[in-house]
Amino acid sequence: MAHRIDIDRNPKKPREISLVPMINVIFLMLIFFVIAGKIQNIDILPVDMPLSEQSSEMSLGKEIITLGRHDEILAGDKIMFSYGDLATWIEERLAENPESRFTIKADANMEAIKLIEVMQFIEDAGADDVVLAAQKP
Amino acid sequence: MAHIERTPRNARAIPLTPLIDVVFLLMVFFILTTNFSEVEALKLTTVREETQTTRKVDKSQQVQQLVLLGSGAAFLNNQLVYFGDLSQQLDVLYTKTPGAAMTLQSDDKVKVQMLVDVLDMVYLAGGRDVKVSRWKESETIKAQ
Repeated sequence: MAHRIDIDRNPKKPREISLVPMINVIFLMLIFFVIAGKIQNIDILPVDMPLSEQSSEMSLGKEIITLGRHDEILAGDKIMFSYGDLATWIEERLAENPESRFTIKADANMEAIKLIEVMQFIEDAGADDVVLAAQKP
Repeated sequence: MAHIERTPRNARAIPLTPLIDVVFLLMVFFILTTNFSEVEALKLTTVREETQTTRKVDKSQQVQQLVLLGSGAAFLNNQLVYFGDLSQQLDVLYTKTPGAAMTLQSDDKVKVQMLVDVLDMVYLAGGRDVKVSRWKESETIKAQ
């Protein structure tokens, strides 16, 4: 005759996962991104800027001219269909502020002569302060 | 004195889920929009091909000419220099003639990155007065 032995066991309580350490870590990451990063503007025409080791304390100008790798020219957020449009845009900017700094964002894989041509054109249109945007490696 | 028995109120637990949702959303936003790369400005001036021979500099100094070819060769004052040796040659040049003005010409195949690399080399060697221009194949280089 088989005897059945009943053993009383305390029912296991489901362990609660503590959310507090996770919240702490997420908050730390959030603070890191808020403090260390800069919110970038979305580029209409994405370009891979050239890398440069030159230390420069010059700031980028407000007037940005973007040169795409397929000969697109973007002045501010407007597409320029001809050099005539670009000349008009530069004249308007210079009329607002004669000391405007023009920043050229050119693709690193673009032919340098195209950059030189556009730079000469900007200088001919009356701008004295022209800089090229470059990334630190 | 009347004694009223009250059932003790349960402390309300604050739900953490909405907070976590919002924090996650904020974190995803910052991860996607944050940019850590530093963008700097590089001063660049150009010179016309036709005016570069009459460029005004201090009379005691001659304008140094550096022609860059897309093939990786360069001509420093009409002397053939390979791209790997250019930095060293520029150091020698600027040690002999500190502060010399330079015209940097590039042919049709030179990329923007190569031009910027050479500008870096000139800058590190001590050159400050650098102007860029286009080099046309019709211009001859008398290699020495």
